[in-house]
Amino acid sequence: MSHQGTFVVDAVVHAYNWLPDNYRVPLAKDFAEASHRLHSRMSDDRHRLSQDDYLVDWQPGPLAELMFAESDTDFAIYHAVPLDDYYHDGLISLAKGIEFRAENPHRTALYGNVNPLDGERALADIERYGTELKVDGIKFYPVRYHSGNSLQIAFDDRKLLFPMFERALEVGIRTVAVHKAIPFGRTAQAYYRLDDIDEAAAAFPDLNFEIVHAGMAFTEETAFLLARYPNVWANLEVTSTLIVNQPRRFAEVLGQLMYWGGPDRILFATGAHFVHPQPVIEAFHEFEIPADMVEGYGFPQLTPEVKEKILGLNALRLLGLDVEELRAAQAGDRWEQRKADRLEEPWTAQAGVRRAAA
Amino acid sequence: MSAPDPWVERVRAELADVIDPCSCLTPTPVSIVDLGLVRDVRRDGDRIAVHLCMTDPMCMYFVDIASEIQRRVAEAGWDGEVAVEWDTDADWEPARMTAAGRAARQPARDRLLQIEPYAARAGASG
Repeated sequence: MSHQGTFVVDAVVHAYNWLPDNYRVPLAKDFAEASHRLHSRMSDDRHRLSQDDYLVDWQPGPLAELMFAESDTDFAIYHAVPLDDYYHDGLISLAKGIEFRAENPHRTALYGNVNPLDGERALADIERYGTELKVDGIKFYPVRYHSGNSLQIAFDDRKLLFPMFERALEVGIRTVAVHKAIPFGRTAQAYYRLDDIDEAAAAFPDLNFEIVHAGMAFTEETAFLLARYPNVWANLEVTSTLIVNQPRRFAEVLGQLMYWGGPDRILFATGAHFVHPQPVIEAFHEFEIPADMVEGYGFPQLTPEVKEKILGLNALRLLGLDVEELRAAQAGDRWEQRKADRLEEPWTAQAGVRRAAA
Repeated sequence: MSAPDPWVERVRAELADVIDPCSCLTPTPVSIVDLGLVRDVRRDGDRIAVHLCMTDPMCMYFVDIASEIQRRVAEAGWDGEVAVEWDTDADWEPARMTAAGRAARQPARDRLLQIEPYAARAGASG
């Protein structure tokens, strides 16, 4: 539990493997370095890593230490991603996520990666995720990189995607997370727009659609989706980290989302280890929408109740978890004991990660 | 410039009362004239030709529209031929609608496009 009694859920955490032996195509190196530049931009001086320290292979153990010993995060949702077009293991592997969840009961949830262009194999993956792995969600990307071409994955594709949504519901999966807004690598930017979400959200009212990186671009479109579809959620992975060095930009995004969509389907997320989570959490606790935006745009203010929702309660509602039951289950566990007096120093967990050979 | 043919004017008046079948499925039915489906009305002796431009090349209601036009013109006293032609050399576009047609549809369009801020939906102030 955090210093202010708020239950903090990080709605996306990752154990990236940025090591060169994981690169599948030359562009993988470019993207790794671009990711470090974004990390640098989103971090304060105390929590910024050198490129050598950033481009490493994170493991489930150190990721848990980063989240639960070095930060006020109480619960973390691991997203495995299907970027095996760039990285041999997909960049953020499902295997690590399974281990992360197994080692940290009562503190973690898991989303499985799906590449719809795999067709029957993707359907089989979804089936296995629901029946064997019991994941809480599945994670999609909107485009694949293939020999210089962009292969679109359109979420309103009735032939390709709708059967996958149907299969997900059949096996008890109620949430689909969709990477949007941040173009990845050298793929067509158009596919990161949100035009294909409306139809999917309308056709599958029992399925929740998380827009991941909500507000990094297409903020108005995201806000209008939130306003019109009760099953669309805004996941602030990376977007939350604007708060550290670009707080006014963060206020514009969050204010816009809340103005149209309300505070109940916005999820705090950092994408750690993309950044260190603690400065983001601390900044969010202290954050206020600037008065001129409240007056000039009519943005609602971030009340303590709204902060509690965004920082954790919304995510728990999405997962179907009860905060008091979780608090009871976590009471006295090894993480609570480790940070009973104070948090551990930033990036202490780095010692446990694999680095490139010198 | 020749004087307008009174029968052409009479047929145009009748067309203004022919309602587009698809718009009957909406809260604001509009005539085929206001929708901009009528391209031309010509009289050549005892033959009157009504030229229509449909909104959809697959339109299934052309036959119904043509039948109603022929019935109305006959009831108005015309005893010659009434030919209803489907012009396939032109595409319908929204700009073909009359000002009255646009005005009739606008409230419905506004309702479709309206997205209320959360505070208004939640009944909160501010």
